[in-house]
Amino acid sequence: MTDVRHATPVGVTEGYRRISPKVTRDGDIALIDATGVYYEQLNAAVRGAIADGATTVRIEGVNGQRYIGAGIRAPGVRIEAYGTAGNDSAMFADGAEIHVFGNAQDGIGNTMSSGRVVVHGDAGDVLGYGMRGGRILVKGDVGYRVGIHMKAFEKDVPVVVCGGKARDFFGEYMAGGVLVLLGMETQFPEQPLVGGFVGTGMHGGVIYLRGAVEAWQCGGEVGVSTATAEDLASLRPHVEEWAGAFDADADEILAGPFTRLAPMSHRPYGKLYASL
Amino acid sequence: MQQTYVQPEFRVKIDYDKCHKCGRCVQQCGWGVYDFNERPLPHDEKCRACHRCVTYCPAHCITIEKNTLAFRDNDNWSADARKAVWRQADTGGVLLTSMGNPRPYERIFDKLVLDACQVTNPSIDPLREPMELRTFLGRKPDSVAVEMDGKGGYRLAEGAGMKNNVELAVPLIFGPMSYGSVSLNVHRSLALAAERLGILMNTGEGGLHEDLYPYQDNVIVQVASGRFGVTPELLQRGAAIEIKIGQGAKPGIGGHLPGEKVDREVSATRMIPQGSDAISPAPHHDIYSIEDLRQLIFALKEASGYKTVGVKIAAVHNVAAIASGIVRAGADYIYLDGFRGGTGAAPAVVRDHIGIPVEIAIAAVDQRLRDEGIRNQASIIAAGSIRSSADMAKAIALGADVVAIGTAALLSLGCHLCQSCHTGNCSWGITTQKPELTRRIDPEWGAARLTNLVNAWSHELQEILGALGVNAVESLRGSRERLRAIGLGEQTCRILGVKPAGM
Amino acid sequence: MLRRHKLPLELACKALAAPLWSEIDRMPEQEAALMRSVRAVYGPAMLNGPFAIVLGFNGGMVALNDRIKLRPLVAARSGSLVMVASEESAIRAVMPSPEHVWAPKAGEPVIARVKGMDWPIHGDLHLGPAEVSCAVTGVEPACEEAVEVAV
Repeated sequence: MTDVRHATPVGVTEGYRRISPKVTRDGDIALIDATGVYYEQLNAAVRGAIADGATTVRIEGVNGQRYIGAGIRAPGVRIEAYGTAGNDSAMFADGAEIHVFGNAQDGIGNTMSSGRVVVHGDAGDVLGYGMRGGRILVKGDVGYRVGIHMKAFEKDVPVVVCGGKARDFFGEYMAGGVLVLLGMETQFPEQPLVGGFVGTGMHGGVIYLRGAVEAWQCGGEVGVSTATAEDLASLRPHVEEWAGAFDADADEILAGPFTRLAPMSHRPYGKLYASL
Repeated sequence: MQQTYVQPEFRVKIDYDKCHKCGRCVQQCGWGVYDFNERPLPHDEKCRACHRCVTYCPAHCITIEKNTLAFRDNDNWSADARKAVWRQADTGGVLLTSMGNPRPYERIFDKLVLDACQVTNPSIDPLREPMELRTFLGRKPDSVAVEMDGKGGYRLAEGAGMKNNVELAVPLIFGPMSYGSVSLNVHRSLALAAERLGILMNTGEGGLHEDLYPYQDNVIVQVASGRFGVTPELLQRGAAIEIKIGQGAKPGIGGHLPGEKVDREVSATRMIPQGSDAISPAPHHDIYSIEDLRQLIFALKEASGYKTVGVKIAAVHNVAAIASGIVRAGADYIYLDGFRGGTGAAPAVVRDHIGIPVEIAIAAVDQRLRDEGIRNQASIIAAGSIRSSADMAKAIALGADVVAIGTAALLSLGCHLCQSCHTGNCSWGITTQKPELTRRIDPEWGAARLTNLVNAWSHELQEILGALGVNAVESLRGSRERLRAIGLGEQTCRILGVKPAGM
Repeated sequence: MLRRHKLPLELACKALAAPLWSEIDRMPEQEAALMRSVRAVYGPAMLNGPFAIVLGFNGGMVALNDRIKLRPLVAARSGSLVMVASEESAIRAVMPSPEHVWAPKAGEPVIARVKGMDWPIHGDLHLGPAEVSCAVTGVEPACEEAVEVAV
């Protein structure tokens, strides 16, 4: 059997071609044309450009390529993806600033360590799964299970701010960090801010929702309250960052009523078990 | 008088160095084991190993041991077989016993294992994600007829849809145990717990005491051959009505509540004279055929405003064909009671040698009803001996909609399975009507323990469903593909519809 | 379900990906009664576990995924063209700039019907094609117009 990963890049794989993308340099900027290029060659080109000293990697013609910026440990580097970023983009990201000018598919920022991801569109399911640091800013709507099992440790406190609406299981199992939902930039104006099972299994961190939720929407492990002035003060920098990224007015956003969801216990299932 | 040859089964040992001489054991024992003369003096032959004294001894100085008398080895003539002969030679009596069949027949549940998801399907986290146990008990229509609602959607067509089903929060109910065989406080505990859990308790054949009227929406009322306490009022009050044909512990024979257990309240509830034996005929004398059963089912429906009417039978050899007839007779559910099911009193010979395992009965009945295209017409309740959430899951996977627990419920109230319910001396206050004993069960306390048990099993069932990668219990029902057998014969596997592990 | 039980396509989809009991409990009573019956009667037909399926039929197509979104599903439309895929990029490979791209809700079918083509299975339940030509969830404004699906 031929090892396809190292085979001569011919033919088509998953609708892409295994060819190295065209890379051009303009000073510190590397310009990559990703049109039709398989992720393996695309991401190799991104890593190559960074190794060659590029501080901005601009990728055009992105359409579904996976792992864009995944595992890259490059503080100070900016990666721009134009098009639809594929699944698991920015996975394990550690330091880079990753912009998606378009929509992002599922699993963005999966197990991310640090850096910043900015999605200038909508994002799919399982955004920020197991995220332990860094920030994700999404302009529009997000899917199911966003912020699932975000966690915090000492100075590593991940932040996710979504400008649109979210589906079920928002902040499921959340163990730390800050998860914000604004409900403003949405293609679903008629639908509720967020689905059901919000913060189900939550045992750390905090969720801020711009608007109200009904009791049935929330997991049994969360306490629901109206955000206080103190809460809003702690929320302000995150909202300002989102507003800065998407050219919005932070004061106007913060003027809306916010609901705060926090776990009632750090050990929600302490009483569920008994010794045999 | 001739001394019996049957030696005491247990030895009661008291560490008198530790004993407080407080007499608590004397007071706690319902069997009269203890005399007291400066210190407690046990009579071993009366002990049933119920552990009431052991549990309540403040000094923890009592131990109960087996009286390990050596008998000459004989695999054929076991010690129990020899003792039974001596006892019958002493008395000339039918040997009476209680609770379920204890003999070492193959336990099929223990030879079945469940599946779990790995990679190809995700398992589902039952603590955070929805994990639905809600179940409807009763007949389902063959299809759901709908019509346009004029607003772009659909609604049920006139008269269509599911009718008269009883909603259960979990696929588990309490099995029938009559007031008379158990105390009113046990009934109160079961009713309270059923209400809190969103499930059902079952009156058994002794009628519904008026103290339970507030819980009537969580009660199945039973109509048995003795018709004790059966009035139009009873039929109006139940959430569902059950015709008891048979019981797993004593298929083919009727109940017998000894007069000692028929106190004033029991007599009023059963509508029989105080102190008289409450005897149920072996058959219903208005049911000698499936056609007669249909007549009774519809009489009960007419009298109750068309409530769910179920039929409880003991699992016997031809159970699948019998069940088919019962469904065709109009029953909304079939309650299958396996041969390990409990009883408040039964001849040992009947309990230990009649009937078949419930696992077989569930599979055979489910398959027969499916083959005949009438599975939707009745729910299947399985009982006789559901010992754990694992048994519950396996029963459902074999084809049951709901399981019922009796023994497990009594265990949670303190029962130690001493198999002496028929004596009416239960030291735990469960199967007795003696006021000094029945007050040992506080209904609130009892309900809390029953609620704990059912909640724990529900969580465990959810864990099992999650591991199976499904999030509603109806997806487990009849899903025999999720079971495998270890060490069951080929024929048994075929009847169960279960493959051996590895296939 | 469709042929023998004459269930409308929308309800057959609801039987395959049944709403949660908690959702049914929150529905208006008429709808709740319908869904309770559908779920209780067709419980054995529920597809439990992860799936996203696309079914084509004479006169349209339906896309459906499982009720807790264990598999991906994306839909898009431009004019009378409706597309579904597991990834948005697959849609854009064919239709680079659709008017709407959205992720359908878990368990809610995306149904597209071709204008003028009655679906024979529907029988009496079928309204005029213009009235139920598109029950696409998620983009209600677009849904109001009858569509012609160009395949």
